[in-house]
Amino acid sequence: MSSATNAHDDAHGQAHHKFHQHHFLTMAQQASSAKFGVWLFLGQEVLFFSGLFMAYFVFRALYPETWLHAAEQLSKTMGGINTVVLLYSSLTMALAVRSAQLSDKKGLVNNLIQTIVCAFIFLAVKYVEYSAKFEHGLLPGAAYHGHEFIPGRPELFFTVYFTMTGLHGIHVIAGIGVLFWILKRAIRGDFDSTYYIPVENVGLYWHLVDLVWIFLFPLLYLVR
Amino acid sequence: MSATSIDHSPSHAAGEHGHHDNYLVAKKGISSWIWTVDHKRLGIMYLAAVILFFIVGGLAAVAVRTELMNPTKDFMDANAYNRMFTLHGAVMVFLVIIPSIPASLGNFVLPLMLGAKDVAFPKLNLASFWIYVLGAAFFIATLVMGGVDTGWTFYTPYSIKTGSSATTALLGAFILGFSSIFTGINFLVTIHKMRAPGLTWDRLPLFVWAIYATALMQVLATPVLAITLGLLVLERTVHIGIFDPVYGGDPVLFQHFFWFYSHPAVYIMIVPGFGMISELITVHSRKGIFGYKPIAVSSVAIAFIGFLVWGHHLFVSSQSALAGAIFSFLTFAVAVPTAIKVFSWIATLYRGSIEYNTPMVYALAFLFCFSIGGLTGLFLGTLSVDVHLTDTYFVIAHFHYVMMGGTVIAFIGGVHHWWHKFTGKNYNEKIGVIAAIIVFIGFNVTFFTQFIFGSQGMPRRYWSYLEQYHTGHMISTYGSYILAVGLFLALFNLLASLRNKGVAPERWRGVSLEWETATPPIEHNFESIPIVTAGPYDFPEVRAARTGNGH
Amino acid sequence: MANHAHESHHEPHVLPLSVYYGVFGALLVLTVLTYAVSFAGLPLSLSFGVAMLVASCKATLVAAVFMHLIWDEKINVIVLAVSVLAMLLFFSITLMDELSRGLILPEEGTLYKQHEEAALKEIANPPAAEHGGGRESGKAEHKAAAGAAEGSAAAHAAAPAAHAAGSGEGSAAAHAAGSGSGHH
Repeated sequence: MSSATNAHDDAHGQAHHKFHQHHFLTMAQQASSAKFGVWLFLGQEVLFFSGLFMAYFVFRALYPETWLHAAEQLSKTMGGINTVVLLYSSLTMALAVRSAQLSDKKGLVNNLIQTIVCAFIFLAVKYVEYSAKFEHGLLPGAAYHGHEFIPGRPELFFTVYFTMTGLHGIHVIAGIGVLFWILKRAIRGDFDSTYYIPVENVGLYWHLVDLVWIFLFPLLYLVR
Repeated sequence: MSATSIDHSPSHAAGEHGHHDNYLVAKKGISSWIWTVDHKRLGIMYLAAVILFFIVGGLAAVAVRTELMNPTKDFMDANAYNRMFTLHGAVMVFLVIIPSIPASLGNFVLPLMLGAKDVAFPKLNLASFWIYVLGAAFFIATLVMGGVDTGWTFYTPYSIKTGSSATTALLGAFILGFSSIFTGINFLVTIHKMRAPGLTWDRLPLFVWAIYATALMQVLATPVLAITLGLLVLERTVHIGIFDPVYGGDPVLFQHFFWFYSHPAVYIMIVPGFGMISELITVHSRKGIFGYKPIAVSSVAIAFIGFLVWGHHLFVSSQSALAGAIFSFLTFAVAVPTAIKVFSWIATLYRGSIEYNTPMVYALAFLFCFSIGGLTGLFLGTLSVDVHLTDTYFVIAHFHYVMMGGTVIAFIGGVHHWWHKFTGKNYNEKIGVIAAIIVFIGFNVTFFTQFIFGSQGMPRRYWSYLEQYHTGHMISTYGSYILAVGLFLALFNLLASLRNKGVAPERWRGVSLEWETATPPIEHNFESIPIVTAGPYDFPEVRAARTGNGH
Repeated sequence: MANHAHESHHEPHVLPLSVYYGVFGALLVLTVLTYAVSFAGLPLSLSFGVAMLVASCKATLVAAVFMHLIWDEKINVIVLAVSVLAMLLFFSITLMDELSRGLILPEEGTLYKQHEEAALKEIANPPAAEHGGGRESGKAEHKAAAGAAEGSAAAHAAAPAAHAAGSGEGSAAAHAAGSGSGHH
């Protein structure tokens, strides 16, 4: 497909970028490989979460009444606030990538900081919600000792609730980690319009965290 | 003379690194191996680890067979026996067969076959290896803590309740899953993005196609295993109830989760073997492959159908009768792409210049054993027959014919095939062939017998049995000793070659890209970027035949 | 080799700001919509359908614009599509089993049917005490059932039998358990 001359023009024209890894012929090949790799990683994340969604659907189908009543114990308002917070963080993340594309260091740093702040707000709201559940004994499996009457198998609903939001929360925490790493590099001035693929890839991961929540919110909080 | 022409204009990599030592001596010292990002060194490290654990798992198998020599106790009690067969199964599946061909041979050969300097993410490759070691450490810890007695499948509800150290083993398998996922991602990106100029999809060696299909399944199926094992760990530690009927959970749901991974995992294990055999048969019969496209596409087709048939493991697990019937039907579909491969290999052999060297003997052994393994799979996929045969030695024999007679034999054949490329040494051909024949005889004596007493009703995983199965078990146990002798002979033959001085001459005359570089390869694989102008099996003989026909 | 990759990355593909704010606005509107629908008291299956539809729209917007999939290499779109398809396959086939148990043979895993009936009964006659004897004794039954099953596939056959004995309506389930054990 590609001819010898083409490969060589690229190899010579772009070989000297600071972040060029030697086993790639060109920066373009490097960027496209990294992005494809991240997409594959996101693909496995989809399947990783799918196990918990599967459990959700099976038990919702088997205990519809439980789901109807147990979901009322969750605060739709808090879930809604967290949804808006995550959507906004997705926006700032996308804008961060745009700033990097325009070599706008100030905009990049500013947007990354907003994204990180949103992530912390999300976790804070989650903490408030979790403590309320602990207080009322609305816990998974054997630990369940709720006083409110809920028909069927409320402990299973809370198992599904805690495993799903818990795994999502772990992803948020990991996201904060990589966002700080990218922020540090942004402040150091690593990124400009010729090299911004790490920002883009961290962004993809962050959007996936948002995507998962987009489904968790109606499934867990808005059963009715 | 060869199918590829090497481009001699300087590449920048060669300019940066002036020396061209081979990868074994390019850097010195232990830490240069521990932190290496060179795919070839990582391949060799995987190879060593896989062989080590193959010996561990193999000794466990010999112990199990020895205990079964007589209907009553020989040297292990029932509990020790349960732990021993679990050890054998878990080690062989998670530590040996899954990483065997992709992670060891694939790591070494894949970038060479593609004309790339390395895999796409060398550091991730290193991380995969050490994650594998960490997972293996958990397995060893399990062993030290007394072992697990659930079988390698960890079925609920027993795995929730067992007092043996299942949690450590589960964490080990969980960690190993991520090693497998990262390797899969790495290979997919490498195959998509790092091919040399001119290496189009229809010029890829079939081994690459097989690794591609495998990596696809590793990325799509393994995460489900990870979440399943994670949930089971939570089930054991804080009783979350998803798989536990006490809290309204469903133990059969565990089997769905588990086999959604583990059935594709069966193909993760065997499809690289298919790729290996395509290489062995073409190179050692000096013929172009018969049906390149059908073989390549059928690998991907198996990967796809592999996701539709997991329920045939649940025929008697209280799955619904409707689901059982549908899964039984879908299972037969797998036979189609598999048969396409077997017929194509046989057509390739037809009128080829077959050289009966060690790799070829293993390839022929593969064809024989895998055909039996595949055909008996049809018996087991038939719903009504399976009700009789399920959980008998018939099943044991079936999957050993596929996993051991298929994958492991292809793996050993592959190690012999590329041994010279890895080390620059030639092993003793005569001893190699003798070892291969002993392995073949030992394998069939061990497992063919099990088809017979399995169909007579001998259940699997039983520690003692009725007198009527005594003869069968005795023959099977003696067979396992023959098998062990053959395997050790093969290993010693390979290791003995390492004492030879210098680099021996190359014998196979293959034409895919891995044969184009030096032996052993230099650190950056190629002096300059190769440009591909022909297919992977365009041997000089094939070209001569083509022009001889007057075209 | 990947020719399109060479072209697409020389110049970054920058979108106007209005696109980002427009998408964010649409996401907010959809969030409010799904929130409001949850109070509308629609039939359960309909409200579930609407919620999933809205969530899918939101997800598509994020993936298409924020994740740049519209302008990206096709292979990345394929990766996402294939993984979502694999997930749907996993869902549909597993649910096919879980929901068709008992369709052909009465003794297919009837555990869940029993639970559901018990739950419905509890709703019809709520127990007198707030945190009731109903739940407690229900749990005791299950413990007994699982104890009897003792770590084998028999759990499915045994649990409904215990249940039936507890609720006093038993011939079908008892028959199921009986025929199940007769098999083995």
